[in-house]
Amino acid sequence: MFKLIRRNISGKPFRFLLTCSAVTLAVMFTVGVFVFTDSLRATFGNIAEDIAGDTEYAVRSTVDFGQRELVGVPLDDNIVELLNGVDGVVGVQPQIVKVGSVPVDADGDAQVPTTGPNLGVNWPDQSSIPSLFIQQGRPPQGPGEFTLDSDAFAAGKFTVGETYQVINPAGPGEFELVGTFFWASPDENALAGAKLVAFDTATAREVINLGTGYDQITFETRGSDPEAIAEAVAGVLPEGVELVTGEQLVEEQTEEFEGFIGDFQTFLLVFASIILAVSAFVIFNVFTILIGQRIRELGLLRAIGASGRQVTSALLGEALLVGVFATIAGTGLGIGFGVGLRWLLGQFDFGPSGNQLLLEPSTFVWGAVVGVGVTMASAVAPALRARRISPMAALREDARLSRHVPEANLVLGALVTLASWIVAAIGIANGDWKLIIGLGLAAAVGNAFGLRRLVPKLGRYSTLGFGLVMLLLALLLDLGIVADLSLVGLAALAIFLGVNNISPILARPLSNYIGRWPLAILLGVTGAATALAGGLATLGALYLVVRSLINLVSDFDGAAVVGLAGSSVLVPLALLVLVVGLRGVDTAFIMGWKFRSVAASVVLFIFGAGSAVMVLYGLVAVVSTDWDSVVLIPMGAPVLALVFWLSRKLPGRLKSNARMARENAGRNPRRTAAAAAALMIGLALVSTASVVAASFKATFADLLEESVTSDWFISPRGQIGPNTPFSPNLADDLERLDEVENVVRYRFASEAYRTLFDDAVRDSSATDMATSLSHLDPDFVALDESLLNRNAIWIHEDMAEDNNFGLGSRFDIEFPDLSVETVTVAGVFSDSSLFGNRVISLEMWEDQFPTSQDQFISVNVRSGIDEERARAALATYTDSYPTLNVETQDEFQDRQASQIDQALIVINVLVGVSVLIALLGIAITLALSVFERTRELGLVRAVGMTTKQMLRMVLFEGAIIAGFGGVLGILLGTLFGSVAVTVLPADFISALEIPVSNLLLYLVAAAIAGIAAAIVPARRAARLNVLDAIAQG
Amino acid sequence: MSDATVTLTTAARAVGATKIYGEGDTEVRALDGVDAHFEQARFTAIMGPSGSGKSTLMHCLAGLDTLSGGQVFIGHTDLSTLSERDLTLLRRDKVGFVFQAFNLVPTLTAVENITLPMDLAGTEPDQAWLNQVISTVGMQHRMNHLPSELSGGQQQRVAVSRALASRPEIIFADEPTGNLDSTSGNEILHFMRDAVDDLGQTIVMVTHDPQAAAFADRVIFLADGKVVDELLDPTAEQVLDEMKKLH
Repeated sequence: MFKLIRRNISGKPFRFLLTCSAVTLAVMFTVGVFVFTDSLRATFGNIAEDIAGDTEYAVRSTVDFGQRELVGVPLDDNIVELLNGVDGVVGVQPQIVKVGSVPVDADGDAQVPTTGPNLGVNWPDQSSIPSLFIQQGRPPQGPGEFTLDSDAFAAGKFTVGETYQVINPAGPGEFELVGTFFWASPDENALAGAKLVAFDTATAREVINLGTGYDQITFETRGSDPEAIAEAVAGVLPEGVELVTGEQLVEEQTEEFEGFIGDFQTFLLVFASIILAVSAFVIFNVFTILIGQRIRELGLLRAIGASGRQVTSALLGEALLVGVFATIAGTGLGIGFGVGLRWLLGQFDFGPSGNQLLLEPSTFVWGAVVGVGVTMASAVAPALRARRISPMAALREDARLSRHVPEANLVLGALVTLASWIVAAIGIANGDWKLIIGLGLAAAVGNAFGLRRLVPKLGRYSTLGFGLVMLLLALLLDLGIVADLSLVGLAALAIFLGVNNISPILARPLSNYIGRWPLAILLGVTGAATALAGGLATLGALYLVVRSLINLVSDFDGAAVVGLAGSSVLVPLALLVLVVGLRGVDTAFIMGWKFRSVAASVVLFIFGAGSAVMVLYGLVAVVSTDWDSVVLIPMGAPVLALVFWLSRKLPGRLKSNARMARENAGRNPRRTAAAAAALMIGLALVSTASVVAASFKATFADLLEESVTSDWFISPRGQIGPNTPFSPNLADDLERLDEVENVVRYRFASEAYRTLFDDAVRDSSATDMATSLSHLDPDFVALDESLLNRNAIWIHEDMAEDNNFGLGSRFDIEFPDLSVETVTVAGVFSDSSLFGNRVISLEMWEDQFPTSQDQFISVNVRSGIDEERARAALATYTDSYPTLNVETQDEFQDRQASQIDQALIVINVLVGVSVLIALLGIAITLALSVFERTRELGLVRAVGMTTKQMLRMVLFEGAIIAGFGGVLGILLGTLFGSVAVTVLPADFISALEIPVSNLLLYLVAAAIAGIAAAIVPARRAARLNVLDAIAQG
Repeated sequence: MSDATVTLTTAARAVGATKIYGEGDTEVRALDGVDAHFEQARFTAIMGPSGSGKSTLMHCLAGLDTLSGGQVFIGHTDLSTLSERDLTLLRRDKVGFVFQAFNLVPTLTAVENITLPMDLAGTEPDQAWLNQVISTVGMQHRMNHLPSELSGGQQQRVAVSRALASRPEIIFADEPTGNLDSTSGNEILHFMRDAVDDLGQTIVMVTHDPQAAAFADRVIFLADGKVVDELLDPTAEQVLDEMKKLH
């Protein structure tokens, strides 16, 4: 048997490599993610060790909840004295660390890292264990001096001895740069992404902590019994101050990093699993086709005495080899991918340091699980079906794999179905996302198993039905965001599987409609556009090659070689785009252009697309319970039906090769459906992301238009990293300008205080409440301006309803230092997208968080001041803050929109990998179909089909399959996106927006991508030797 | 139809046609200097034992295969001067084919199969002629069926119709009855005979069945890549005798 497996592979190496390629890509991505995140984790582990590893003991204020940087109460000099008074305590070192100290270089560029914070610290001069190491110059001494970490120094234009501006929490100021330093290590700077500024302790206390005190105080012990000394220290510390060991600090720091890396890894792994799912579809499809083609061979094996079990194990053996080969190749490529990812993120000052590349054993295990596991799992079903091939198959011309239809068994069916639904209900009731998805998938499988035995005819629709019910539940049940979104995810998975089950029914009629004029017109237009883009790109790439060649000649170094290599790679890529575009245009001519047909179909296309969009909007309206727009369905549906009916009557006959392409796509609907399914998933995800992003944008636009009336916004720059808050002094300064009517500041904390009536830790905003009324309107349900004092609070109507609060209600809140304040409800609002759910007065906030800075300020100018004058006036102060954006409402809105677009691009690039695998799947399917139809292709060539016509035929078939997957994927994506938008809380997204032009663009791209996928199979078909082809079989 | 007269013009001919497969020790001369001509509006059969080169000769005459030496002509066109594309167009416009099996594209209906070559050429079929051809083979009621819905004999009748529909200069038939029972086979042979007699079509048929060869006006015999004999107005017995001599 093994010999047979080996021969099968060595006899058809091309086919074997094709089969491997999809798995290889999936393994590559998974391994890359693990390599990268493991390296990242190791680096951050080192950093955690660097930050706190040498510390013996530290004291700091007790923080029950909330971000320590924000809520930690500064310690004053009393504590320093207390510590110094304890016997055996040495090296008492007050420490200050705060986000928000930004140096500005000689060119006036604020040195803001793209990831990681700007930190300000004090120079430790008491501790016997140094943490900052002078590289050049000397440590800062006195109020006018500062030092920079060596990387920040190198990144900007700085010279030691010159004076520069540093923007601190206390506002911008001029300081002399007296030295540079390494952080945490005497040999190299161990910072990852952050930029560090250090002052002497007294200065830091003034400019960073606004004179309030220190963030923590470290000390060492002298003597034989450190623990006794620590105990003595603990004994003298006042209430609200705690003692921690260095190990505890490392642990906390590591945990904090772990959370961040874990999120990042999860994010990447989500995409890895999408790619896996798509690959599984492709492999399943390929194995099914291969077995179908070899059915006579397998029948012969059975006839000469192989058992069904042997046939199955021979096929599984082949799958195993594919899996092993793909795992090895994919792991190698994955390590390269991890390196590439590191390089890419390294361009943004982010990622593992140095050349550290960690290969954990678990990485290889995961690679093997993915590569071998997914391949085997995908091959099991076809291999089991092959077991049922009868020996007679060897003799029959038209032998086919039979579909297994289970016998009806009412009792078993009912029991299993019921049990599945109970399992699903348990998962949903539990609310944990892993359980919802895990149990839900098990339930979906059980449901399909049970229903097929209960009502055999419905079996095919069971999984789709299950998915739709889950989608409905997500809409109807209010389980919290995470649970609701996991339900949507579960529903999406089930619907993908379900649509895949029924899409063989859809494949024939749909490909019949798709393979008509509109597709040809689409191909013609987009092909021309693609060709144009490809042509320009080719010229551009050639220009780059020439330029890097000149570089190479004039200045031979590594960068020049890399430049030449990079630009040389671009040329064939650009040429490929050009070729695909030209092929697209050429394929359009498959229809043979006749004016009457073109005109009629253009008209029909416009009406058809218009009415389809109407129906789609109507369906989306149902999802989002916008009943007014549901009327679009009865309006659009008849038109759509009429267009379908008329399109059958389209004048003029379809050319044979067009008709054959269409029929070919429909003749093996199961295969077409499976090939298209992979693309469907990829495009569904792209469309979902697109709908969510568009809705997010629309929500934001609505918000700014309706509820924000202020003229100007001032907000921190920086797009990926945490936004650095800025000095409250700016708002004070701006308020003094003649042109300015008033200024409102905003602060926010995700864990600000605890509401004592239910003991829950709450997020909260704070603002100048009275003034803010003229800047923005969170849609007040009730408001009593007379209650606006230090102890006022505004709450969201949900909180008011849940607790029976109204205007004048009072309740107690406890801050992180355990102090309790009583607040009075002065307003109830319904729009939570501006402030979140609670707002307290700025006065109370500043009392509680004395070092907190502004997140955001808005400015109203006096009437009669035009934009230009206002901008100039604001600039008198904001010019000292190059880290800030000063924008009008329109500018602010535009920038937010473009940031959402950028996030969408990142997501689309990641999903793009799965689309690529899907295209590979289409290419494999077409290649195998061409192989299977060799004789038929030979016949049509014999009776006069030219190679060009043959080429067009296969290309058109590729476009039809891709279009089929595209239509399904975009429809599903729109559905999922709409549900997700509805499920997401209103303070995140409230307006549902369908980006029709984007979705159409995806469809167009899918069709042209189908051409790209079909190019190789089409060439093979066109080059068939006619005589050999006819003789075959 | 008994005499070969000088007034008959030639539809196709081979001049010193040579086809060699392989090289050196493994060299096989499938055609070894074949000279043959096929007159217009006549039904010619090519016979010979397996390996005699009869199929190769037909493939080369039809532009499906190329010669190693010598020339073949369709009308006045020398096929060895044609490019691959021109050969395709020649097959489409001037040649009709009937193969032993697998004659029809499974995804096209009977009538679509018949008009396929014209459709590929982008020309409209002559409707009157098409109707005449279809009714000649008696398939007018099954024109919108897919090949899988037709019997083997019906499929071959559709194939013959396709070959006739574009009024090619010559039709090549490769064992057209090889896969059929004798009744269906006889039907097909009658249609081909009628096409020559009534419609003036030229047909060249490769066969190894003496009964089938007896429908032809003339039989040429091939052995070892050479023309060895020919019969005019053959009967099945004469053909059989001739074949016995060759073995």
